[in-house]
Amino acid sequence: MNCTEFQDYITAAVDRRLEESIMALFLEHTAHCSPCRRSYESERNVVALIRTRLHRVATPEGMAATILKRIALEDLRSTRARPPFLSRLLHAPLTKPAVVFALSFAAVVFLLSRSGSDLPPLPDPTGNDMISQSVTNYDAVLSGGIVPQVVSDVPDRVRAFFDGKTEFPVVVLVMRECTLVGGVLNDFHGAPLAHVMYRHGNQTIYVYQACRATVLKGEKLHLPAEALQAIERNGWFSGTTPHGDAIVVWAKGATLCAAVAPMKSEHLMAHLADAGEAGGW
Amino acid sequence: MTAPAGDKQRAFQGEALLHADLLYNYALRMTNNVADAEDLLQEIFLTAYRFWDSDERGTNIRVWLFRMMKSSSTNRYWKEVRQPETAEYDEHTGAHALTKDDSEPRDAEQAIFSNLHDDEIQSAVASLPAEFRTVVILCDLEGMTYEEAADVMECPPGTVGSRLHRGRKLLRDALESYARSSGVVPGK
Repeated sequence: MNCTEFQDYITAAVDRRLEESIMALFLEHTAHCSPCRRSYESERNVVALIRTRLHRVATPEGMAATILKRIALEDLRSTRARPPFLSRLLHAPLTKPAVVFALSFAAVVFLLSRSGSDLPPLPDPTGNDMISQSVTNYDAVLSGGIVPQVVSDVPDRVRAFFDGKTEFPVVVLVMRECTLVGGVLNDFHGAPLAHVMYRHGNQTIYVYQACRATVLKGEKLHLPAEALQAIERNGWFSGTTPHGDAIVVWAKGATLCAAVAPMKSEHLMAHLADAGEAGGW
Repeated sequence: MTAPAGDKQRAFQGEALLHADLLYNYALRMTNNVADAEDLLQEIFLTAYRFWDSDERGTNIRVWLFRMMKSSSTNRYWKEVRQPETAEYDEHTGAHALTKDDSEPRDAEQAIFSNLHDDEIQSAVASLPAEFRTVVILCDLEGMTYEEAADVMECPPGTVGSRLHRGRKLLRDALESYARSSGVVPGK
């Protein structure tokens, strides 16, 4: 083993990841090469120092209780989104088997009737209005009804997840002070949809995406005329949801995007503009 | 269909919250700020609870939580300590580039390290660039395998090894620098 090879093996040797035969050659090299032996011992010293001298501190007192309280509130919030009678019904003893049977039956009917798409349908389609769907889906994201199929803060990884699965390029934004969380792929009556989620502090920014041509056609999906005209004129359309969240719709090439977030429209647009979206309004 | 809230909370408490100390220490070492680390810890556990039923959770809860923490805080909390002007980092540093390390005999190096205070060692770790600090903490302090750390950092295990090598070398240089500035080793 020469010195270059030795240096390449140092870290693996320190971490005992070398095969026995290579480790034997490695140790033999240390016997007759002082500089390499010192490099090896130096790295071992650093590791030993970290392991013996850096001490773990306990989580601050009360932190666990605070976290449990917050997740209890989280559950309360999502439970309040359903009427109480529905919660009782869902937890009744016979409900589960009945629901399983009903879902299985519905699945069989659905599979026999579908046109050949292999993507799962939306759980609660709110007509074929893209804006209504965005708002409904945003609520589902917050309540945990929609969870990411890919969880990553690496844009390329999320793009790779969608690659080849939609007829439009999926937009994965890089927005300052926002963290990419992940994405979901599904469809609405055979029209592929992409959903990408971000975090901005404790806020969620959700971006719904569909094929622009499909929406313009108006059959499977559509946009209100007012929104279409605004996008044609300015490149974007903005509004406020019934909950007071901002919604911004814009076109990027073959993709129509709708972002929803619990902030004022101008703030959401600032984030989107920061990412260079919609021609940089 | 997701489990009723009570079952979910119990499962979460039993399987996720037990990693609180590990995650808190990681957050503390990466943010160098107690308040930020506490905020981050709460945020991560809340996010983890929301996505508890996701397929991405897998079976290694610890790695999943660390990965979320790393990705969640990248923009907001990681503080890059300014490094002095250095030569460009080369992941494939050859043997000759390490001759500077060979100037100290082994006993002398151990003497340098043993005379450093714990907070100096903490500061040396905190001074590492984020990517090297992460891999040193995950592997050397938290005992993750290269494969687990690769999963957290979303890079190949080979890259974990390269960064560990470089991170440990940078740490060694930082420790020597602290030792010189505190007079443990005569300044050059």
